Amino acid sequence: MEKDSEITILANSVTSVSGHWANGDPFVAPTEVKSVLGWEIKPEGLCKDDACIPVNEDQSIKNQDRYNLRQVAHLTGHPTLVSQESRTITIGQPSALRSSALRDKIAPDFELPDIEGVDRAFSDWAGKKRLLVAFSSW
Amino acid sequence: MDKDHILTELFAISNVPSVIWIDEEGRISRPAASEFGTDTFSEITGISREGHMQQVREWVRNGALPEDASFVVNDLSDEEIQARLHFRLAAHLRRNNMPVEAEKHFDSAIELAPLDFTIARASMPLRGGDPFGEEFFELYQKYQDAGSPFHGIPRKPQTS
Repeated sequence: MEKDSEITILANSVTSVSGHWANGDPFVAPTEVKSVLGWEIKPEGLCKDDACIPVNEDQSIKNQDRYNLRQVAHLTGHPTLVSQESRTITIGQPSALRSSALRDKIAPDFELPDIEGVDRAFSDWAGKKRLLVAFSSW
Repeated sequence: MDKDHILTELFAISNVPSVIWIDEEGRISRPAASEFGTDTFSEITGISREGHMQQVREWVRNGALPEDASFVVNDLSDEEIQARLHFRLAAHLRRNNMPVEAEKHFDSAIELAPLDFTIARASMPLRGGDPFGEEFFELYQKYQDAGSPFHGIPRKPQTS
């Protein structure tokens, strides 16, 4: 039985959840998988909207009714970086979103806080021509 | 405010300023290009804002796109993707008073993407460096020596 531990997840937001580590990977409850990745664990696999990805529930992916967040993230197309030293998993944006932006020229939507801290979605300005300017204050 | 640099992941941005044109339907009309909204740095960069601004006006008024709008930007490599994750983790650790751990991940990020300005230059002020200092000019020289690798429309040499 693995000991419970706090796991910090750096995804679209920063969250700390209870879970455990096994073989260097973080395991979290199915509810956390859905909360972080938007994919729900069902009998048919990992599901989102009408799509389901079959999951082979062996020990490496399911352990003590928790799921290996690194492996589940990979199955859903997210790159990850696991640091057991800092008890953290960093989950990147899905590669398919970027590929679609570069190849098919479809701009992915995103949400970021404005200078007042109010969250704004890029799609708030849909229907208008937009210049996306990435800059730094240095 | 993009403290986690998610735009660099979503659009394969590797330098700033980068400008992307997006139309009413959410399609990318012109992919990432290094463009400036002002002439503040034109003495250093040799790039004037006016050419780009004129192109933007033509696009907005008449829907006209420059020839380079069909350019396809290269995707990020696996190393560049991992570098972004290391950078994000380093910034998180730094914000949470774990500077020693943060340094290790800044180092890993730069090792994986040494000429990516959103990593190598962006980490300078977070590590006590000067993004306009000697460290930056050394990076810029290495970048130029490597042929100015950039995820975006290559800039044509300016003719005067």
